[in-house]
Amino acid sequence: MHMNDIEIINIVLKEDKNKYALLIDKYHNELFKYVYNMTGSYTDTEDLLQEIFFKIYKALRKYDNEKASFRTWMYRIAKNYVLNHLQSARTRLKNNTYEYDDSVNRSNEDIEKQAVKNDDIDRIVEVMKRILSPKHYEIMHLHYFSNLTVKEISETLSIPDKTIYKAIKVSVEKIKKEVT
Amino acid sequence: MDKMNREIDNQRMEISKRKTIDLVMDRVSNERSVWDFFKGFKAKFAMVFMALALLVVVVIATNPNEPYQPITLSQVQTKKLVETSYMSASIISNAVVNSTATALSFIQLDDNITEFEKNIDDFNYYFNMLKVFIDNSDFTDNALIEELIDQDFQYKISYLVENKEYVFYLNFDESGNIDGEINIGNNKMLVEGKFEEKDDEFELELTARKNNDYIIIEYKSETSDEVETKYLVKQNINSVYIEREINIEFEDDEVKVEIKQGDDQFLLEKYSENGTVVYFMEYEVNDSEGEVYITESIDEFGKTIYSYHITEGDFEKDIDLEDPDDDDEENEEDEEDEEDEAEIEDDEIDEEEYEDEDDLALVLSNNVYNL
Repeated sequence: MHMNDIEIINIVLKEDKNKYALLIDKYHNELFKYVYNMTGSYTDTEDLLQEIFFKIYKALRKYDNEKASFRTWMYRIAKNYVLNHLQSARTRLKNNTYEYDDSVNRSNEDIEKQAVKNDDIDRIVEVMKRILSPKHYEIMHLHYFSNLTVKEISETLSIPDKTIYKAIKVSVEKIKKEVT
Repeated sequence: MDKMNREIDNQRMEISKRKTIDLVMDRVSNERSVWDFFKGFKAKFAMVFMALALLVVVVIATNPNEPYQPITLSQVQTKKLVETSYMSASIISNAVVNSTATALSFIQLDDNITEFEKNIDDFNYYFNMLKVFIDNSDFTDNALIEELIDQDFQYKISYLVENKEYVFYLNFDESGNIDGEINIGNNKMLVEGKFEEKDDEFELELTARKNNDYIIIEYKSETSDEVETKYLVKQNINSVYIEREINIEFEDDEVKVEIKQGDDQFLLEKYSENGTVVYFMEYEVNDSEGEVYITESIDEFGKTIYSYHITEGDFEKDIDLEDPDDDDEENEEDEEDEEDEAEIEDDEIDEEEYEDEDDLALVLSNNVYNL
């Protein structure tokens, strides 16, 4: 039987907390990509996601489906947690090495290409952090590293979508100027 | 939409998913919430709960003026918290800057000093703080409210004014009591206050303290469709106690700010003349009346210069002063942000334009890759 998020949440809160696994199963990969894009480390991503999903569970009673969709509410918690982590671990993040467990199955060219791309993304994250205001940084990191639409980013951050559009435009121009 | 995503090892992600589900669900099943406790002893305590429930009903029924309300911040509460926290934080954090008296050096050499000049530091102190209400009356709309989980404070309200980020952490209970702290950069102020709402009336008192300095701001709504907002500001800064009334009036897209202190008063308005923004002020200080036209420009070093044309009685005078906020290097960065923020507020955006920006992601990443 297919259940929507609200139905699952109601069951978790009232009848069977084991049903929370359905929500983790549904949103894990989406959040995994979002967090991994930010951290560049599988180990960090895995650790962060375990904490994020447990935090979401503990906060589930506070979720109000009239204020936001479960998905954007979940991103709000994830975003805060990841940004706090990055803030406190920036030095460590700079020294991260990337893990390529399947490297034996890849050509050297692929590995090099991916390593260059990872370095570039790290550089963009660093530039964004350095030159953008905190608000624009939050908007940009959700825009580039999550699958949220502008409308969903607007809901996640409680900022009008028109402001999000403009913030993205202005930020992209600033980042372009910085990296070219 | 193709974004700047890192390549993901799907096998690893799936393994991680199983691991995350196992570990999280293990913690979930070990988590004994209040509800779980009650479930286990449901039968035993059923009577106690019923008695408690009955007691609650009786208490609520006997206090019809105090119905139960969920502890959430309303739009009005948030707006007023942003305005008052901004004003108090701004006044206290600028206290040190203003005590250095930017204008005194030339005033002491000048025999023909107007009353305005004698009070210019004090005026600038308030002008800089209130300018945001005139320039961008809805700046509170951009405040970001976050409900914090498992932290010392329930809420985080953050907002940007003139490129400075104000972060207000607060707790808020059902009686309307507020406690928290405001952070601007390295400046931290402790805050306490109280909301009171009766019928259509809404009152807020907020006190911000830093060391021996404090600011108390009192606000009371007068009508539901408010066009005039009055704040009573009591400040004790550098051991000097002052009370001021600040009145902000919105009428036909115009904003007027009035500051009264005893018999002295300043009335500030903003308008545009030949594309230049002009701030016009009428004042009455120490029984002298006058008016000042203030224009804002940027000099060759990128610093903001305020030019004052003062008329007091038969006397006219022109002076220029730098914006003291331009002194530190960090503000060079901030200026860019300020332009951006202004653009965000002013420009019209359409989605077609935005779609072009998606391509910029590719251009951007290509640019980066070519470095």
